[in-house]
Amino acid sequence: MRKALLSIFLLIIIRSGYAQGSYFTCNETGLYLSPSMVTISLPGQSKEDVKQKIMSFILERKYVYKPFYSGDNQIAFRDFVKCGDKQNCGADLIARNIFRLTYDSGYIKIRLENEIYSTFYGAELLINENDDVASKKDVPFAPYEFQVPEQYAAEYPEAMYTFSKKGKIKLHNPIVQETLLAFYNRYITDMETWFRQHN
Amino acid sequence: MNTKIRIVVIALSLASLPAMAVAQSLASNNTRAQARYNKEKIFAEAQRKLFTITSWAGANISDLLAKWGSYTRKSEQPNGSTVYIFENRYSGSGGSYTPGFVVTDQFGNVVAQKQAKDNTYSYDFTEYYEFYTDSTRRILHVKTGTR
Repeated sequence: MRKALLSIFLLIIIRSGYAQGSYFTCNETGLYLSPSMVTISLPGQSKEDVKQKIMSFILERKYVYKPFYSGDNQIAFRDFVKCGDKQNCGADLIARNIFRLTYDSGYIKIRLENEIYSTFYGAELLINENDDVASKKDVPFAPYEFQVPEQYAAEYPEAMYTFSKKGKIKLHNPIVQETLLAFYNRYITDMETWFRQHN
Repeated sequence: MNTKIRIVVIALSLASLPAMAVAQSLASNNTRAQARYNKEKIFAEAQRKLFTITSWAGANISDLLAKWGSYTRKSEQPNGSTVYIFENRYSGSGGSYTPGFVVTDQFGNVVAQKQAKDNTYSYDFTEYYEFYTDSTRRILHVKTGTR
């Protein structure tokens, strides 16, 4: 009885800690920033300073600057990178992330548009300047399925959730969920750290 | 004798049930695996078509115009960029209409009737390619679709 209570207590602590430390929500519908925008305060920095710092950050991290999505108050950049491997997740997962940084004197607001691709059949993915993705030799690949019908669980080992005919949703692959949350949280912590260090 | 044969047949049938169940399961597993493969193959091929066209992003619009010929229309944006738009309109119709009929006698009773058959169809859509360029005529972005 005491052990059971202790386990429940520990579980609550772990879960609350996990929720507090995450900038993202990851469930059967997808992965998104929660709240939808994260703000980094840069007190005392002029708009031009903030702009220069964002450009330096993009350059330093070797992200791709996206002029089409950028303007007077916004700078966008893209990252195209592996975010989960076959060994742990069941398939290699590749993320195409477009960050839109809205800025002004003293702050940056971060928004994210992301698409995750699953390369279950070992496809090597390519991306062009328009941010469209294809595979070498057209090897099959597809956008990552966060949930699949439960009878397809074996065919989609990387799927995070399964749902039954009655609509019951079950966590199928918690490792993928942890992997993706950790991966995306790193972006925000990295930006926060970098901009604070360069403030 | 007949009874013995029947018993043997029933016994064999019962013995083969688990094997049949396994075979059926394997078959449906293969079908599901095949379904995933087919779905992703179709996606990969569709992405390739899009990728080929949108890979003009980064090139100079003059190179595109030299290859594609003249555009349908051009639009100047408030931010100084120019959009070159190529459009292809597709429209048409087909199918057939067979009228129905009702035959009545002198008292108004229906003697014979046939429903009309309408298999006609029509379509009208425009396929577009929009190339957004900056002040140096470099293509920044490509949008495609139908409207």
